[in-house]
Amino acid sequence: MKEFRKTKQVTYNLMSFTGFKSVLIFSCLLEGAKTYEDIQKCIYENEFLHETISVDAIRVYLNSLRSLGCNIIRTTSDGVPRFHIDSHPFELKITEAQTKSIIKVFKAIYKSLDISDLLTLQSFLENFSKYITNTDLKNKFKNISPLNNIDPDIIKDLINYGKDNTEIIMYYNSAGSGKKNINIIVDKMNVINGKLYVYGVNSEYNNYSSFLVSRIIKIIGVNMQKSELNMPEMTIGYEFNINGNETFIPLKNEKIISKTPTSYVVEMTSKNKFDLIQRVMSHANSCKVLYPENFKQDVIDCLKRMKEGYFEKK
Amino acid sequence: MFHLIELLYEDKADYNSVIEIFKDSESDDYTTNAQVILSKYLNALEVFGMKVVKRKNKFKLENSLYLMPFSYEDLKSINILISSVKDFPESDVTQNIKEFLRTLSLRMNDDDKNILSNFEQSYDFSLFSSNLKDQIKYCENICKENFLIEVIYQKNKKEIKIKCNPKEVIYDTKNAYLSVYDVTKRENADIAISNILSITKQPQIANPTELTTTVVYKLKHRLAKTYKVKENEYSRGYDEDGNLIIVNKNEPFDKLMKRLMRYTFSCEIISPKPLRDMMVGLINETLENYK
Repeated sequence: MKEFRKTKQVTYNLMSFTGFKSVLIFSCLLEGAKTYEDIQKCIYENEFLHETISVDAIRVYLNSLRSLGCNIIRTTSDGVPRFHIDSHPFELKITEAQTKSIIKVFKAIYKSLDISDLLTLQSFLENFSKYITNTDLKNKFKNISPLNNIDPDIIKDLINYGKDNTEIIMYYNSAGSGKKNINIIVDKMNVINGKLYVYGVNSEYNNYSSFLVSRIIKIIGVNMQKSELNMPEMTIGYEFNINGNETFIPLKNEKIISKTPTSYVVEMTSKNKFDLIQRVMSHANSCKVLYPENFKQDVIDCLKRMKEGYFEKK
Repeated sequence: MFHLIELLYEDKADYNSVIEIFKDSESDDYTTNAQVILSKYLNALEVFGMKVVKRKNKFKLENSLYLMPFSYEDLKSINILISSVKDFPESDVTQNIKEFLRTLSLRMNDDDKNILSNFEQSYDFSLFSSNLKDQIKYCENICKENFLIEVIYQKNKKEIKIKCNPKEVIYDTKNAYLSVYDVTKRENADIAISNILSITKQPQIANPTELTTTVVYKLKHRLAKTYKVKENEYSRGYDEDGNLIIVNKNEPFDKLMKRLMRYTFSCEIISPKPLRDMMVGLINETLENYK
């Protein structure tokens, strides 16, 4: 073998020429549409072959490839037939077990990833879903990311605007008031409860708000002047009772201040009061707000209002 | 030739299967002949540029018949997948993903392989190197064996005992849970594996029929318009007051209640009554913290 590699001289007792020609034709047709003449040229110019092959022989090879499972498409332009392989049995196949495993791992890791990595993974999932044959699994695979169905260009732009707190005007489909323009100074993006939000100061009302990125129709304007996020941050403290050995997972804006064997004291900072309330409420009876007093009262009022909802006359 | 390539792609090209392709039963010395033919075909693949090696009586493909284009984003995602399985505690999952990565690597050109091996960013998926590995492995086996089990676990400083069908092990960023179907309460539950005190296998095989309770809740105010229906839910539309009615199936009650607590007074459980009462109880217990 080594020797004929050097000399480029191959004899029939060393190598299967039929096998070699069939993989060569397969490879040639994968590159794109080829005429009989192109295929003949491909065989003739191969350094190990240098032989002419008849059109009839090419037809035999094409039929063999078809019987193997290759979908060979024949097109004709200017009266000349051309052939290319549309699909073949050696294409990448993601098995059901592999798909389920990737979905499982994705669910386990996605909260640890930043938005740009999630965006990268979203595009990967979309591109590779075509290699899954089971339709249900294919849809699960494609739709598993919280960034699914959101224009990736809008996400990329928001990531960049968040870096230097740029003020933008976005055309937004608000659930309450319909389609309208909203000005915000972009702060950051976060995935909360499986949905992607952009956070920033709504410059019209001068309050810190969050908006669902999936509801942004387009970004229609950018303020080139330097903007500043002048919203005050709110800091709250709460006690969290640990459930057995379960690990408490602090958010990026949370800090564990002290620990006892049964509880943690956690400090959380945010410009958005709504976020703080949602976090505290999600801990339910495992959590007690310690400070500040007015926030504590807000949580108590919220709980009372919830209770009233259950006892209102129907 | 292509049958051989097919076996190589599927990583099933052990010597016996391969030689079977080239045997001619009419020949007297068919094994020797088959070996000669096989080596001629392997030579043809080598001349074409496909690298095939023989390891432990099995032929392995080291590069593909054709190459696939990979974007930088694809390679970055592959790098994330490689990092995620480094310490993943479930061997089957790891094996499946490694096999998937092998099939990608086969179709990758040398430049892409080089980029992939030189990614500097590493990811910390620290759950997977935690000291829970043995317990996770045990739970993984329990799920495979599929017997009815009795689990004793800690919940809010109490010991809880349930009879259940084990389903699967699931994860969030730092915790691993044994997902089960509680046959007495007819509900799904995710039990933190770190809180499990004991698991006792029962003699009966787990019954695959699950009669879980369906939960109906309504969403009010702005949330009624913005809510994204979850995988295990469907919407029954709006009531006369503009509230969105959601029907939820199979979500573990503990998880569901905590999620609904986030929605505060914009959410109300309609049925079943015991769960509605449990929610009121949970609100009361939370209020008790402030007395």
